[in-house]
Amino acid sequence: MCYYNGQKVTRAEFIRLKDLEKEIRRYDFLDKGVISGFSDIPVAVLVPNEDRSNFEIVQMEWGMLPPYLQNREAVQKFRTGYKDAQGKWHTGYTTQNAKAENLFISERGGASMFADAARQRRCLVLSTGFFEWRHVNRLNKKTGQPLKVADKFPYYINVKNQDYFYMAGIWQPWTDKETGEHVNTLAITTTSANSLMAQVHNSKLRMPTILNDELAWQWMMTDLADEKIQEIALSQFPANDMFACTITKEFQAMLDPTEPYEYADLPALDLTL
Amino acid sequence: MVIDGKKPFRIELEGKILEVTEHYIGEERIFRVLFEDKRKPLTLVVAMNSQHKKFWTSMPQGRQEEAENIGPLIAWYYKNNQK
Repeated sequence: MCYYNGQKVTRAEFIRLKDLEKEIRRYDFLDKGVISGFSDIPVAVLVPNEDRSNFEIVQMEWGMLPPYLQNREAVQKFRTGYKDAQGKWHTGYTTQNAKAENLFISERGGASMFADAARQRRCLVLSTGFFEWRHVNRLNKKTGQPLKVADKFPYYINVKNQDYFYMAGIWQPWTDKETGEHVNTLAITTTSANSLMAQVHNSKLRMPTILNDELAWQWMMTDLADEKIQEIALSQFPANDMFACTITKEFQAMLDPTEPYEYADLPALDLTL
Repeated sequence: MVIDGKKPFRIELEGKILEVTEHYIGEERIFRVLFEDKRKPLTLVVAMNSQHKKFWTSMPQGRQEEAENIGPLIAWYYKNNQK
């Protein structure tokens, strides 16, 4: 006879519960209110099975890692930057997002680190919504000129009438050469902001590549030429099909981070555009 | 594979709001509870003891008291919100 949490259970039940514990440890997602690209919470991702007859939901680490990084210390340096032995600072790389414009050619004009993943390993990120910050420069009361430092207001954005939607992603396997740890790492593609997101994410004018069902299927399940890959990654989800509301600046500590919150004096978004 | 097709619901325990989501791992039904305070999320399942009686339990082990307090509230919610 065995015990689980102090309760006497049969051996078969004990085995069932222990197996379930293992599964829960592996699939501990889809219930986190806010997944930040800078936290360690894995992301729910759809990937095709081997013959592309179906797909499965897996976990991936958000922030694509190039295979040449040897261990987690190298990963840390890659992501956050570091000062070398000569005192020279090396800037870190932010690889949570991959600009659609640079999937194949980098901003410097060379081969992009995302190219292989864009051609070979495309996936869909499951999302219920995302967060962006709108920058609003108040006016100096004396001069009437915009202040240099903007006030920032967080928004929650999702797709109307859909519990979940798809973002285009690409992924790269990575192995820690010291520990043998193996993870799949992910970047979400981004495109130019549509008329809604241009107002919300007005500092960068970018948005994630959100795909309707047809494009999502093409992205993940079909062979695509480079031009088509980039075309889909560059596509803008219609602004009219999206919803945005302000939320409290403390949203990351809230039980429901998506609860609407009104800011007095914040100009409303122009939804007629 | 985890499939979660339902929205979270809220229950109240000792004046505090808990947010609960239902998940399936294969055919196993599990509940995930998020707290207002800084407590770690709690995973609950219904198990069967050696007397063939069902009981709520935390997964992993170690939070049985919470499981026994919260589980029945979840059951009550479902009983009173069935369509």
